[in-house]
Amino acid sequence: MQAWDCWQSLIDIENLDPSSNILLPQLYKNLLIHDVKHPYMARLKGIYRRNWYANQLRLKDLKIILSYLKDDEIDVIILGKASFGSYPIENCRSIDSFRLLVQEKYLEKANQKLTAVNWQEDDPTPKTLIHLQGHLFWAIPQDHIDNLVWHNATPDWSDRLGWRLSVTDQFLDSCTRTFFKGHSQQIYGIADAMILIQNSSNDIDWMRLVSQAQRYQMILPVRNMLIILQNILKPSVPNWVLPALWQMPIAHAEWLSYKILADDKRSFWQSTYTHSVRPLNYFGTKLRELKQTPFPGRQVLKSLLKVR
Amino acid sequence: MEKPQVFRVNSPQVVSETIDGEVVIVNLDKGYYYSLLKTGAYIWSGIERHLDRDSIVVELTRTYLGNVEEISTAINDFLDELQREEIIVLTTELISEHPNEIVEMGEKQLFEKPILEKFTDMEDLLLLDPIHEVDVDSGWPNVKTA
Repeated sequence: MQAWDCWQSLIDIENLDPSSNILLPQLYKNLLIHDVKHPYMARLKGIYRRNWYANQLRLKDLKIILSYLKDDEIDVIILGKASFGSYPIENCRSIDSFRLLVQEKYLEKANQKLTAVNWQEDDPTPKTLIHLQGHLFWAIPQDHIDNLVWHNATPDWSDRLGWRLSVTDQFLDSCTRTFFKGHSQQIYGIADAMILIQNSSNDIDWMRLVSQAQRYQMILPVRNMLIILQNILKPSVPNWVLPALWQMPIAHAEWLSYKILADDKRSFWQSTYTHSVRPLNYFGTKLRELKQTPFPGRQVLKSLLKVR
Repeated sequence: MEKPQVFRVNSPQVVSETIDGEVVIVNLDKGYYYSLLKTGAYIWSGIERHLDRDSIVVELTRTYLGNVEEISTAINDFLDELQREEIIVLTTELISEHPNEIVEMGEKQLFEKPILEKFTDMEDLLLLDPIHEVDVDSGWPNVKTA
């Protein structure tokens, strides 16, 4: 409530930034729980209604998509906002696209199936983007990593038409997407992660989370997320997790791929160093490749001599 | 003996949620959006609890002040309207095992006829800015009046 009092005294609901707009349905729900009376509540309720209505239409479309794919025996794990079906925030996020994970061997078939049925043809609502992907995390051996995701998933979405990620993988996915460079909407990613911890803290396998973060080179986003959550929202996280993540070395690729926190000076310098030596590393790699391949001039001379 | 008339929500094509005393309903096949408040929301809760028609009437006469016949007629008209809109359907399967469990608390309010608010121009309403183009006191989907 203190946060609400502070926030509403600072903002003008008529001039909100897009990131805050996204969270208004969830804000309404939280204020309702605390029985808040405020002039904004009527419009916030309207925003929640609108979001609920639009989401119901989208979820209906998603069921159609899933049933088409199920007809072809293609299993789908629902990712992103549509995956929060069983959580209290089902209607607190605007489902504007579908992220669907299928096994890589079925990716092309799924793509062809959806194209063939042209499911959007009669849909009067604005078209919904579908992101089909064959992998969730990347590491070697890739098949094993993909199988792990499916092994831990549960067939638990709307009449078992789809699958849901394990909470651990959902949290990991949420962390990486929130802090990936180029991804702009961090606020709701942090809110989503908080929801996962609040509602399913006992279901998160923290040992597996930490070991996967290391294996998949995702230590930085997980660490960032936990630091923010601990500073702002005080979630229930085992006290060994963050120290363990701090001890782990961060791979080169992570510094290049993920954002760092503003007040994390150590990471800032590490990241800056990595970025600054990146061009040198690139040229170094190219030079090493040249050293290993025959000088092309020699081939040209040889061919010229042959002709003579 | 006449069989009790019990209704159920016409799912899966109809979904609903209760938000702060208001029941919002959408017919997914037609895209229509409905809202129920006060006595309408109360009747809806009876439907969800699988009360038969007579039990709903009994509950409302216990909860609201008014002529029993008028209340009964209003409820019957309302249930008929919900059926016409294909929001609810008759069922013979579900009977609440514990009808009329609502405990009276406080003063009875005056009975008001239940109203089913229906919105059909949803494409236009979805395009409304839910902060700047809606009525400040009621929010979306109520358009701001000039």
